[in-house]
Amino acid sequence: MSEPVQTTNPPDGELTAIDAMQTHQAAEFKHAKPLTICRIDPLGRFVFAGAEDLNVCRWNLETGRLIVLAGHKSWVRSMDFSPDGNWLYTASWDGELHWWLTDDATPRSLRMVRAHRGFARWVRVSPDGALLATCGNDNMIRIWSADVGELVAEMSGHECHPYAVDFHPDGTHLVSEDLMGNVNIWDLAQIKLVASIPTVMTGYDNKFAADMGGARDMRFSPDGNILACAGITNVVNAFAGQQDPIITIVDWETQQVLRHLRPADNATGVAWGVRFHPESFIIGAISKQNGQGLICFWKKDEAVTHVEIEEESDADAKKRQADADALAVKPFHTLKVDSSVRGLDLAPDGRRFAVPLFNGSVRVYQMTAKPAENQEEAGEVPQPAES
Amino acid sequence: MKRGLGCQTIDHVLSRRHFLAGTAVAGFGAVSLGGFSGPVLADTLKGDEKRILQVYLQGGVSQLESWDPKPGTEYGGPFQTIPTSVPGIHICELLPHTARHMHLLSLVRSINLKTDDHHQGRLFMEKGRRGEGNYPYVGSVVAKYLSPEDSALPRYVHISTRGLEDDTAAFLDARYAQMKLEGVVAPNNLSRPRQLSEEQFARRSHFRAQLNQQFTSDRRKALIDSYDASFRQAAQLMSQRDLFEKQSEKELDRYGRHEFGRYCLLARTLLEEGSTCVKVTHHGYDTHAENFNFHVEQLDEFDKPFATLLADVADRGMLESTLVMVYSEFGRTPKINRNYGRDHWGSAWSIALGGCGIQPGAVIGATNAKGTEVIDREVDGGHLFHTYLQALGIDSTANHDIPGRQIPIGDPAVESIKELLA
Repeated sequence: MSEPVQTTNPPDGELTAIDAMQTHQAAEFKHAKPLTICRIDPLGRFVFAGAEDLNVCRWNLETGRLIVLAGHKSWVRSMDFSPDGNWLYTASWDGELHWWLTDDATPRSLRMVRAHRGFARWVRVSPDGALLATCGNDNMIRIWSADVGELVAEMSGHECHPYAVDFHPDGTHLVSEDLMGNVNIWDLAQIKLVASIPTVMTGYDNKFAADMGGARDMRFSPDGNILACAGITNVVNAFAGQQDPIITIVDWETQQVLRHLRPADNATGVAWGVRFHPESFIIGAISKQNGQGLICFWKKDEAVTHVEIEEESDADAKKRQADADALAVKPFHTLKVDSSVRGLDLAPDGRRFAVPLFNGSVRVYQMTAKPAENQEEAGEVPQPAES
Repeated sequence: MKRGLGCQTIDHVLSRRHFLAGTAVAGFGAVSLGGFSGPVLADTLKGDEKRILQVYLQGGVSQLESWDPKPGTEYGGPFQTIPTSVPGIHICELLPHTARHMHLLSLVRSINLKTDDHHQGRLFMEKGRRGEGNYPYVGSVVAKYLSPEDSALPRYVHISTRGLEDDTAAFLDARYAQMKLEGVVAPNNLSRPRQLSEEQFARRSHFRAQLNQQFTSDRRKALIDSYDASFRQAAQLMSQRDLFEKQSEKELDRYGRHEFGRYCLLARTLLEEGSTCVKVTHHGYDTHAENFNFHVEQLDEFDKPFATLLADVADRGMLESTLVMVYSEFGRTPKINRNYGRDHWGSAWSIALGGCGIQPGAVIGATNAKGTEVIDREVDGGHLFHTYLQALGIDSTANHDIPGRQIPIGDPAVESIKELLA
């Protein structure tokens, strides 16, 4: 079974400056099975994680106490919260969408709808909390009422599996990205597809005759000006996981791809998570092909700087290759992690974030200077790889 | 290495259809290795048209995402099981169309090849022998012993996007080697060049035949006959180019318009037209990363065309004379790796068989609850090889009568899975 592992003191209330360069491990919560995703609730009380044993784990961030949310019959790979933090919505690979009370002492699924035929890959809550958006392997995007779980609208248009969705912060539009890397923009008033933006976030493996791609995470910036999509590009050998991790930055106004966020060392792997930090940087979680993980920090102003590139016939091919990608932005800071990182979520205080790992741990990192009494333990936590 | 040609030419060898019958009547057992001259099955003597349909899932389909799912267990993965048309048999939810036709198939859930190597696994599954030994593939064996002399189409056709250029015939002659079709297109270099009229082309063909005759006069006839037969078989496809060019829209709606759907439709046509062995390869199962996403994609592409093909073969009354195999070179590890992948696993995996000579709706063998080892009726490629051939009425315990040599058809050390045979 799971057990909490405290490695350093939790936040003690003494506010110190946020500094990505000072990021250090603050806590670790251990589970017996590999984790698939993690989220921190809007009130910063709990971290939830999906696991390969069909359960959802809830750890109290202060005490480390674990409560298991049982009820799914397949893996949970996506979850979201009502804005007030009272409700948790979980989507699983058997197509089900479940409603839970976030702080329930004895959690049970209070409502379930069969959202999709095949996987329910993603669930996101609208900015006002009234709607849930899901996407699944029936190639549909569906909108549900958050209060009673009624189907409000459904949208077709993806010709292959949509992997993720997100609401624009103004609530008027929804975006979705599919296996082929196409980002579709939907007008929610008209329930209509209004644009489709191609990205390089896909690849065809000639040897094995199969496609791989799509968003593993997708987030609007809080101001809604840009969209970040985490995933892969430059597929060399899809079946061995040999492709490049990438976070694509899309300008909302022009609907153009602005930049590609890349790891510093051009490692192969998958980008599984992305978040906008209020302090003008972007955090990304990368699982490397070799089983190690990276947490990268990019400057937001660099991520939105437009680059004029000479359009050539093979421009897309070059954009896929890390060394030839004129849109590439490199991180200003990177942390190495000793296990594959499978997601990322930012705490509401902006000081902490959590990552779920293949080794079964949720690690909580703090982006401030270490408490003085723990400075000597520096060797036990991930060290900055590069600055 | 050249083999000894002995004194026999191919003309001296009994016809394929009567090969085993002939050996029995002529006291073949007396010259073969002791104990390998089993009874010849009556169907061979009757001259029934039997054939084999091989669907090869290249790379190693996951048994846990197909024929032997273990939902809710440590390594079960995210998928559920679904019931099938056979009460009590459940398979993975990724195969809903196939599940509706499960009563036409049986499962072997207890294969242990003791190898996790693509090449070795493939050879074992095709030759029924471990290692690199020079033995023919099951398709070539079937082509030799079951295909009629006057076959209008190549005896052993392999439809595949890309390829593994195996020597499938080994010591059997070239007529029984696979003819590779790279998609729903006729073989290369068989079309009449545009600049030649039909008359000119006919004259050229006649001239080539004359040259062949001259060439043959002072060389071994068996070899020449063999290669000439291969050429003739391929050339016959020219006159049937519509097999490749006119797949009906209605049928494509049923089978699917992607490559594998088209291949399955072509396979049905080739079986109907008289090919003895048709092999269709579906690529893309070597899922060391993203095993679950890829199995969703690949099995979604496999399921409907295969189920449609199986049903069509049955509806045409051909299933009783057609052995259907769905197989790989191995399965995939129960343990899920850090990239959401499953790795090579030859130790405890499954295949599906059906049709000619196979008891329908059976499950042979079992793995443990986690799927990590075989716990009942362990079999390997040798057992399966005997089973395929005996299901088709070929005595796999007899010998290939090769000039100067008697070579056991199946591995003498193992037997067929008798309880699977109808």
